[in-house]
Amino acid sequence: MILPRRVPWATLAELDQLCSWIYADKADFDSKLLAIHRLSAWRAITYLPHALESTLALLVSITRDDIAHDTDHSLFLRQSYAAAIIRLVNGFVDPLQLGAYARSIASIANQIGLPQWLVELRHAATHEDLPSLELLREAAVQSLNWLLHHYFLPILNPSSAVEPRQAPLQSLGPLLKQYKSLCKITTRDVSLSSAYKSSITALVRSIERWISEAKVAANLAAGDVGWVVGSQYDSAFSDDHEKEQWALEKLCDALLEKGALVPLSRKKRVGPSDTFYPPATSIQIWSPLLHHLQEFHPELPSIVCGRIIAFLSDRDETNDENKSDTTFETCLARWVFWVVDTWPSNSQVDDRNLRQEVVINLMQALGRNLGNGFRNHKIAIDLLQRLCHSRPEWESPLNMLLQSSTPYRHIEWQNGHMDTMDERLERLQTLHQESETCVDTSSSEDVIQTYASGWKLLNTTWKPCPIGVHWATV
Amino acid sequence: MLSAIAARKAAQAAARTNAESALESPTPAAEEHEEVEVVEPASVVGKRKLTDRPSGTRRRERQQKKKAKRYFLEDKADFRTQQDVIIVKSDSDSVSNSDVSDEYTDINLADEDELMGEVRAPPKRAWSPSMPVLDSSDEESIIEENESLSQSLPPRSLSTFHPIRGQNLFYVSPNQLSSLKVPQKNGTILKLSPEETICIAGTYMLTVLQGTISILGTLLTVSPKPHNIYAFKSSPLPVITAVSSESTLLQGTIPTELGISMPSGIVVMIQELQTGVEGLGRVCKVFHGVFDFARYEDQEDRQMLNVNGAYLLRNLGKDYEPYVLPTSWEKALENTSSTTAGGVYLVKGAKKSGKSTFARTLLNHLLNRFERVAYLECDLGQSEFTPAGMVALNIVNAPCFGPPFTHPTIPNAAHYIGATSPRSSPSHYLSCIQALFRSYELDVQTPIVSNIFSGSDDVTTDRILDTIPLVVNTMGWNKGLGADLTRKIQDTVQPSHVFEFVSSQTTENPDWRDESNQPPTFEPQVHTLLDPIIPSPSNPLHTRYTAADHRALNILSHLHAVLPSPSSPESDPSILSLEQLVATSWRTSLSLCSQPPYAVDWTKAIDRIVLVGSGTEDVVPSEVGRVLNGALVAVVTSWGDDMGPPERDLINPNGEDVPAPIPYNQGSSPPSPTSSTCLGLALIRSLSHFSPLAVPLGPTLGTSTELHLLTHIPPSLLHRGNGARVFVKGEIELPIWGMLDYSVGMRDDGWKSGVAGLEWSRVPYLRWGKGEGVGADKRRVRRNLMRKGQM
Repeated sequence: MILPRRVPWATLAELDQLCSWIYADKADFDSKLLAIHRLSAWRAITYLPHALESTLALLVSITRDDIAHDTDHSLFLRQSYAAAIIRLVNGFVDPLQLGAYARSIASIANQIGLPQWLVELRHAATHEDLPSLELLREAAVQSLNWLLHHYFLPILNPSSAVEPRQAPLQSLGPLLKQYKSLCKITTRDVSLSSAYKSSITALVRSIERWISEAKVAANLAAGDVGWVVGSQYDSAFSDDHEKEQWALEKLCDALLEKGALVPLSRKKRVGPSDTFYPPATSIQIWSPLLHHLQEFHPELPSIVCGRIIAFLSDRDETNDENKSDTTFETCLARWVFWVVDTWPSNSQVDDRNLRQEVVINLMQALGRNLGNGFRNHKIAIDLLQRLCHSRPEWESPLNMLLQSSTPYRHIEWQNGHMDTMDERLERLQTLHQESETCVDTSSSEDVIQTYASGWKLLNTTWKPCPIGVHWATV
Repeated sequence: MLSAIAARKAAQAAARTNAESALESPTPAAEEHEEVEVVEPASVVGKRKLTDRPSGTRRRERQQKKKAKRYFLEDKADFRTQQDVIIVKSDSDSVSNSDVSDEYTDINLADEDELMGEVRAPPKRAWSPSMPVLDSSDEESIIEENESLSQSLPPRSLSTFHPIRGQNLFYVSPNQLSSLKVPQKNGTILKLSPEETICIAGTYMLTVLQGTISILGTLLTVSPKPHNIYAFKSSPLPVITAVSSESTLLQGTIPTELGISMPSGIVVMIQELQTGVEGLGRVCKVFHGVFDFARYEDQEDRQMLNVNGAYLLRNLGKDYEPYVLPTSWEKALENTSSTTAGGVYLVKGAKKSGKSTFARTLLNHLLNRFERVAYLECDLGQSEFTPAGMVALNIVNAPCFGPPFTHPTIPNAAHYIGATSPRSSPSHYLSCIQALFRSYELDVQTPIVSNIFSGSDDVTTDRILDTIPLVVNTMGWNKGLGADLTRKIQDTVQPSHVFEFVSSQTTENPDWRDESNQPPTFEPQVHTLLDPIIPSPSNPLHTRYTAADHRALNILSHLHAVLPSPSSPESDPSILSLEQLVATSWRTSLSLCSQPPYAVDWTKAIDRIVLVGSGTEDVVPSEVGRVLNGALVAVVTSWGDDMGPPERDLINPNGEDVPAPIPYNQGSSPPSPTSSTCLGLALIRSLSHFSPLAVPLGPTLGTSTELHLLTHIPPSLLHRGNGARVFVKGEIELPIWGMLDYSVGMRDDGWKSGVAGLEWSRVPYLRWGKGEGVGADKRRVRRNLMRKGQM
């Protein structure tokens, strides 16, 4: 269940005012002080967004610097600046460590467009000599500017904000290729497997890391970076879910390229005749990787199947050079069958559902394309029949699908439909009303209470309004 | 809401736990770091039972496991050998488990998906680096795997009792009960044979008419006083076990026309308990569905009990699980049975080991022999009787059969810390506990007997009146500073009995122990070691809620609760009253934003407003109104000098805006615990001079020094003594659910349309969707990344 977020400001106008206090006039000491006071108050209200917390820390250091005397010890200022910058960088980068394995701070910073030298400064301030005051001052100014462009402006004016410079996601192809060639060697000669073991493991981890990079990219694509606050129930949950799906879809796309799951050579694409599995060598090569990935990403099987079905039912045939060759598609269909058949075997609960999901997906795809005679029709039907094999409950929809040839008719929208929908909604709502018997046991006990001085209970004059809005009594 | 994929995935995550024991982490190196592999808060089947062997064996087992992993990693060619590995490892673990789960999976398969979607879904990813964990009073943001000891599995059948009307189940009407001193309303009488069990969920009143029963680890004997039972899916369910039929008959007789042959059997009566507590499922929708049991009842049992809100459950379900008293707990409780001399009972151990559950059971157990038992709550995160954030002394006279949110109570004495952990104010925390313990020693331990009878006509009791024992529940933060604090608490309260949960975690890390477990200077008479509770293999609902969820529910339960007024409102607040004021019902038909508030004139009613928590020293007086608007504050009665009326020279920096300054001194310290007590929480819903969005209708007139607030504290308590004139604001916020308006429309998602008839753009402090820009969200702490060395 997604809930709204609690923010410290009542309206965006308040945030706007804060922003102008900070950025309108760089030399205006008093307005900076106002901003510090406001941010300190907000901090006492609720958790501050990290960008605001960093802003507060930077402002405190800067204003302190403004009024510092030459006789003051510079170490105090340097430490104050350094702490602000270290926490700024950490706070932005830490939430984006999305994978199981640590990525370097620099690579994440690069992805969100945080200046590299701030990352270096963070390192120096943490582990090396404390940087000089001059450098730190410059860093504070740049950080504030960066926050203006990456936080304040996008939130205050979403349309005019500068697009965050987005580092393109690197291609997964080379990694997969490397993995494949290593695995080929070890499948051909088992004695070599221990020799190559470490490099294969390293590759698998690189692929895992690529997924976490893709998730960060998914964040950026969705226009936000920090993740949802923990205290807000499920919101993090579903979001997380979407990002992960996005990343896994990208992964699947790479796997569906020719030369990955499906071998390049057409001869090698032929699967065994006794089962509907993909070629044995392909299974040997890819199943360790797939299984490993599934460990961290339990929804991988369903996404793989979904992508393949989407691919099979894709009617766009423009860039296909030879239509007569369907070995590629057949091989993919066999992968679907393999995934459904063997994959969930380590979790019995799931078997039914994955199969069901795939069957439903397939049937829908077929149903939509009925009569259009889409190219992979035969392959899809073949796969569907095999999936439904010895499942009597799916026989009848399957037969219906196989026999009927009338395409799905799109119902034209008519004005009357709205009324029907309204009517149905009304009916549903009254149903609910009947079932909802709200117990309120306490309304009757209205004893005359004596209240403490200065207290009174509002009753008639007061009207409901959101928490934080004051309804004044007349 | 959640897709089928998510639900399926969740089920898979749960089912995969077996595989996980072999594959928790692909790197053998991760073994060295207990915390790295900790990952899934859901059920952990794999490793249990290993721990009840000597540690030497255990170590070996672990090594074997490592080997198995390596073997497995090498053998990439045939990945499916994985299955073999699992079987080898887990056959000793849970053969019986799988039996059980097979059976009920069949039964509830149909419900499964539906439920998963409806109630908060369990963790869906096997590994989550950044899933935030908000845990009680603890430093670490990592859910720790509870490697715990073996204990008897929950019984497969919850109820061996088979109701047959007219034979062992009878309906009674109020006039048939007139000769008994029990509540005069319709009821159902059940006659049980010894050893028979019956599991009744929901809310009901339970009266024992003959014999002895055991419920939630507590023995109940004949008494005309009914016990209120609250049993929901959010916590383990009570199973009533008939123990023995030997006991004195209740005064008065059960009407003979019912045909109950009294000399044999155990007789209990169930009556309807209408409290409205189910409404909290609407308030806090993550708990929607935990109150609903109707679908789990067997067809033939429907209406059998004939008591609204009570449901007879026959079998284990996927979403709930019965309360099982571990053997070590049972022994520990038995050991306390002989004492009549009161004493101080301290419960300590790691989080999630079952401290609170044990402390509640112990409390109920002691209430069998003592008229009253005092309960000192030191766990700020998950308080039993009060909302989170305070240390409290409660004096309890009736056993509590229900999770904490079903008994919101006005503490007899309490101090507000304002955070879910004492980490930012450890010394204040300690002095608060010391003050509470001192009032226990002075006013409670040996009460003046005349004091006891005031307001109570139940003189027939054979329980001990002149001694009140104390149960002390500590926090789960048991490392570093946390351990130090617990040790100091132990030194303060000088317990006669210490119950310590020994988790395998601590025994494996001797370093922790050396550093933190310096022996307390005071040695208790009895030191009992207890086994921590084990996470259930079936992953029922209650294990899916986080500490933060429970905290939110608890706060909302308090704000919606209706509490009785004290019997002697005029007494001096500095003298501790022994009366227990516990919620009798919940008012949930109106959401918080629609409930008529109190208008409080701060020039007349408030002496001091104090902000506590790190960083609040920086809040300047001109900004304090902003901080208070929408804040959750503790209402404190103070009789010391430190919190007197404000000095007149309080400065008011921008006088034009603020007609009269809010009585706030920047950086002032919280009220002294020796001369104050906290009554409970209040929600300041708005301030007159600070209304961020336009008032919907009408001019802003009225007093301009007024704040509107909601509180469950009875008004008569607020003006006792000098009155509760100090407000303390800490870090604890109103849960988001409390700001929403669920009473809009009749549909379940009516709250999504706005608040109090206003569209979202006019609702302050709430923002839909993700934060735009970088860093719009709170910093997230994570400590479980695998580093280079582990790769």
